[in-house]
Amino acid sequence: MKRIILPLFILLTLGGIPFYFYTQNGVNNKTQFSTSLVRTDNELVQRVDLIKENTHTSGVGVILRKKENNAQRQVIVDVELTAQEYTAFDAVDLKLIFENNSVAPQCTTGNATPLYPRFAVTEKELELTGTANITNKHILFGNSNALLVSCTFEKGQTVQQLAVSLDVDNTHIYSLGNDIIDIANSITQVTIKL
Amino acid sequence: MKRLHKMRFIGVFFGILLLFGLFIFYRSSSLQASYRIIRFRIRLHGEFFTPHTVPATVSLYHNTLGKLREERNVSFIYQGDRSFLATLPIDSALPLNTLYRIVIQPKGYFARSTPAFIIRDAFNEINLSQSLFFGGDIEPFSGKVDAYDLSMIMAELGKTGEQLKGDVNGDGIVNVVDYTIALRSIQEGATNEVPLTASPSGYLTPTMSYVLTSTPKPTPTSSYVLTSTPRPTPTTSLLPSSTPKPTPTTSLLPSPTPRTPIPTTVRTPIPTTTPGTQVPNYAKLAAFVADPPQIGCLGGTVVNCPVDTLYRTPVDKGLGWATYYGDEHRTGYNVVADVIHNRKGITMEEARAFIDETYMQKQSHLTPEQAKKTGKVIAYAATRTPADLWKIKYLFGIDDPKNPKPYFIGRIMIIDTAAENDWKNSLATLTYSYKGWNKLNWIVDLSKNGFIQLPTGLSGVQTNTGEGRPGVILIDESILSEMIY
Repeated sequence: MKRIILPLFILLTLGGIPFYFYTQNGVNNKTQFSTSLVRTDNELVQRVDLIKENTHTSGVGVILRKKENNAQRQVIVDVELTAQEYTAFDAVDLKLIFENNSVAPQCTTGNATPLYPRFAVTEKELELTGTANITNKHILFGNSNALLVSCTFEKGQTVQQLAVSLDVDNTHIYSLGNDIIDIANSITQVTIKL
Repeated sequence: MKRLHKMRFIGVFFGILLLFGLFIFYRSSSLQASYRIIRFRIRLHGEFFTPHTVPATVSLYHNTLGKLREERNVSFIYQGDRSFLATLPIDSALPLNTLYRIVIQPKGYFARSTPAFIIRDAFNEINLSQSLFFGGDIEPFSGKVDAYDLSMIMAELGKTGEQLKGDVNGDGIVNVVDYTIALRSIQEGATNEVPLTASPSGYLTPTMSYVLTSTPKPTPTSSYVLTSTPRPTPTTSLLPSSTPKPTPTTSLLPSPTPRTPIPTTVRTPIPTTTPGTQVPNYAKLAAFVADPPQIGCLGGTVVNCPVDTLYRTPVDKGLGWATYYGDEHRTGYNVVADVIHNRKGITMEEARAFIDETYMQKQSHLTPEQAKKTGKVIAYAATRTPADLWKIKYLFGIDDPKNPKPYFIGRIMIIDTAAENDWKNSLATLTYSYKGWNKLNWIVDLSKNGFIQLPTGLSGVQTNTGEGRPGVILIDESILSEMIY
């Protein structure tokens, strides 16, 4: 009996030691998955470089433009991005201030960026963040010559004057970590009568 | 010879066995020595695989004395079930059985804090895994994820290494996962729970920790508060020089940048009332300083204290000190909405809508009667007893106990309650004896907007949520008239 128990004990103990260290190290075949992500990302980064090399990086201005729609009794304020040459950018933060305003305007996003993860409008302000979009096959960047957002104000019974202005401290356009906003070539305020 | 060889083999084997046994014994005994520990369980947004460790900074804020301890590089180890675990031994100098707020900031992620938490001389567990930690705020930190952070991730996409700014989840590579984490944080409106703009002096200096501990132990001098540094400014070389300059439209209106109004600290004694309205008289409230209603156990002991009766009795009136509960409007992790969702059995969306419907920022410019007509509250809170649940209390403050001049702050709604054991073992006897106050009992655990309008604590900073606040009066709506007229 002793002849069986002793070798069995030794066998179990010797087997237990490597098993203990195996579990402590947390060896897991899932780690291989991150390797495949590395490959994907290398392809992506090459694509990013390729796109960036083939586009210009100039300053991007922000233009506030108002349009009257008398038939609908509306005033529309468009926020457009403009650059001398097409510039792909990564992301934009925009903050507009509505002074003397009492009703939140109807605002819709434009086509300047493929994603708008932050979009909040109140009667006092608009805040948005627009970003590039990464999918498995494509990277869609922000477009420097496009409409970023459009806000429609309804005219009231009594004439009221309000100002829509760009909060320049909280408005940025980034490309590869650099702020490329061109405030000098921007129109940062419009006055409208409702 | 053969027998000797066999004996040598057996000797070596038992030697190894002995060493292994000693190793196991050492591990278990070291665990026993660390019996006084806090174990944290958290969940981070992202995709993780074992083995993975995320370093985090854990800070302990005493509710009266402010920050007592900061531990950097606490290892949170991925468990494979989407959660991370870490264990923190409790320092023998740390005051036990008292209220703390614990702030956890994993590297690359936003800080989150626990509501008031009692640390005991035993095994303590903090489970924040019900909701995610969001991340993506890249140095220089702004307290939220914005365009700069996404652009930095994009700039480093595909790079590998240890010190990459864009590697949010710390897996050694900047990839789509990091970009997705940052995007989700924007969508969730996630922000840092520790204010970045608060000056370091807003938190207590290390010497403050001597007040309670018998063996003075300075806390690390480096502040937990992250400094907000300006983001890169536009590079002038990138700007086109020949672009025609559009003519700006002239405006008749000045354009000062409006900011979100922060409740002012200016005390308005009693707001103006319209003719026919009774003028409140706060003399009865001022008398609380000399003769306070019993809200807890006197002298810091439960001896001769009706501790059980107090637990079952609503707080109709009382003067005491307050602890910090949490933010009313956090969209990433919202403790107020979470509690309302659980207690009312409604969805988180409905709970957030409930907060939106019932909340307003400021009532101190109104009389209590005018505030009542709004039907809204400025904060949500917990008191000692379940008997207070969903009741409305009126919050007043007294700055100077030697010259008590009560002022109205606002209405609050009771949404939570102390656990019975916490009340009996700690809260009932916790007192505040600073800023001229003498053994004030604890009265309320208050959400942020109300808390930052209370009389200041030891730091003197109105917005500091890392310390206790004295001079807090609560009056139940049912007895308001008899107390202020």
